[in-house]
Amino acid sequence: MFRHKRQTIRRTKKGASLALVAAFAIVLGLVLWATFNLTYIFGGSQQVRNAVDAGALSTAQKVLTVTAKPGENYADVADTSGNITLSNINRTWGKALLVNANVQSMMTEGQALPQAQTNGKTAFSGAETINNELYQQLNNTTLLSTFFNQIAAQRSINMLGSGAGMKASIQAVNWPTALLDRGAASNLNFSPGQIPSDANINVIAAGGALAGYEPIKANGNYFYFVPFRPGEMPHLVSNRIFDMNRSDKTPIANIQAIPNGFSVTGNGTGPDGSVGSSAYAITNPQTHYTLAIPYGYLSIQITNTAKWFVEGKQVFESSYGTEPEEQWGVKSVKLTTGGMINGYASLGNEFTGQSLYWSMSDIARNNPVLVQKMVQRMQEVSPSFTKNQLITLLLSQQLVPGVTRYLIYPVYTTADNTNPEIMIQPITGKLPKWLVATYTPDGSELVIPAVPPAGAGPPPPTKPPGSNTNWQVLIGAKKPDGHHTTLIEQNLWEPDSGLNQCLGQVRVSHTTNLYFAEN
Amino acid sequence: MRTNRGTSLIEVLAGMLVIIPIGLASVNFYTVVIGSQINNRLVEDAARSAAMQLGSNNAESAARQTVDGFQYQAPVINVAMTDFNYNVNSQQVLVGTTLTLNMPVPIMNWSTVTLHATAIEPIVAIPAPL
Repeated sequence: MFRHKRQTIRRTKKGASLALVAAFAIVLGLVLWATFNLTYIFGGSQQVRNAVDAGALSTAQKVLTVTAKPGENYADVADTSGNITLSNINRTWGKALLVNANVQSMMTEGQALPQAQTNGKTAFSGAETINNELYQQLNNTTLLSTFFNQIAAQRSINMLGSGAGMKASIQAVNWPTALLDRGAASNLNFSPGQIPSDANINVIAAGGALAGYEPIKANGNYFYFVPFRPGEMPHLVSNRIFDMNRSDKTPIANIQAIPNGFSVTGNGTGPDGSVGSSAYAITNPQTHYTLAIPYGYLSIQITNTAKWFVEGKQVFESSYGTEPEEQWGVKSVKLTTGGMINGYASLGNEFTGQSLYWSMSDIARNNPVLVQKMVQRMQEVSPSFTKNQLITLLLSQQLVPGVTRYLIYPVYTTADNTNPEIMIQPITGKLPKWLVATYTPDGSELVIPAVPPAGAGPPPPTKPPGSNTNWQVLIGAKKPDGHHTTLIEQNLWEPDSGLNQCLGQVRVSHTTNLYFAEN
Repeated sequence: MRTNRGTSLIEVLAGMLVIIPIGLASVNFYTVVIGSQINNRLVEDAARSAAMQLGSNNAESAARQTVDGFQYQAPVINVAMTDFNYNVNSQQVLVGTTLTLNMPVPIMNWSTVTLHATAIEPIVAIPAPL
């Protein structure tokens, strides 16, 4: 019994160290195995995160290729492929805003015809249709996932095992989008002078550009711009910032805002399981435009009327051109004193050798109202357009015999209708192909009186001397034999909304009254 | 008693013959893992730098600058950019880097290890078409 006990004790001691070493080796092995697996899980997880980040950036970059058709009214703000994208959606809304600002201004001035409201609505609904088409696509998770997969699927996630692959996860919910950088600059610069001051529109600016996601009310509708900070590229944003600005959780009232922030979710799947991750990115087209109605022009119309009076009573009315001509307006008119009278006149002398500038009396007198209206409208085409440019153009354009209409319009040398050169041509000249000179006015005419600036002293002579004269031949009568002419000059302003290209028309109206048989 | 002590010693030594190589191998293994993570981060940074450049030359020089600016710390002895492909059509840039490590425990002339990693990033510097 005793011997048996001793033997048992001895056997236990003999194996004790080996057991301890074996146990330690097993524990060490387990720890190493666990650490090995954890390392691969963390490494694989990091690879998945990197792949999802790259996929988010890819999505933020590729959303710029999503297109909508511009419709008939926004071809001038479309890209060179004829499409509207995130890059030029702000140009679209900008043009719509200008048209509606013009309509609102015309209403304030009492010069809006019923067509003006129709045109304002057409401009708004056209922009809204484009907006909604882009909105639908940019909130389509299936489409966004293809952008994600273009990069993420190519990324290596080999730490999840051989044959591991990465792809978008779109099963559970739609990927949320966000309206980021609210109040920051959009990619549409503007100058306050571009918007008619009497439209009384509260435009919110951010560093020389229209502010993003800040709705602007004009003519009863809301317009907005997508913020794209200057100098930024598509980049990742934090989950916290994204969540605070989600389109579904914190929408912007009155508008269906196109998102500039996109979220993505991807799954890396390997032989032993899968790892998921999400990322958030903001897009930026890195293009900059100015607020404009690119295909817009100003019209200048000259209308000359001769009114023929015999013994103080108008007997005839005719029109005349911008070069001297002779007309017989009074033909064998019976006089109250007996006998008859024939009368003729030399007309169009007031234009002899003149430029268009000198034919516009109010411009020549530096009429601030008319000049301001013309400059403002042309600034809707080119924000840098100035009064001096306008006068230079008008001085450069000589009156062309037989032509009574002239157009001031932009010429574009860039593919995207930016930075135009402003030109002037008679209606018979070589005009751009896009220009449709015939239009239906949506504003009514109003006489703009010549008002010299306060303190400017007497106005300078409006034009070189030259006057219309009349002569009469009395048949069977000697009296009354007096005759004379008077010239009445007026400049009339007809504002237009610009939806159909014409932004307004100045009408230079000359009325020559020809008096015959006066005492 | 003497016999017992000797037995334990032999047992411990025998155990150590197993445990020590495992331990040393695991030191090497973690060095490789850490090196791999460093290389992944480096290639990611290089690809991101390249993706923010317009033009292949600018992008390559940005990626190279990132790789050249690597702060060496033991056991890393060399990093290099080995692949570069700036594809404007697909708007993607691919960067590949290698990272060479000194193994802390050289086993059978296995004194250095070279790790390779690639990263593909979208070229975010390309503006939207006009």
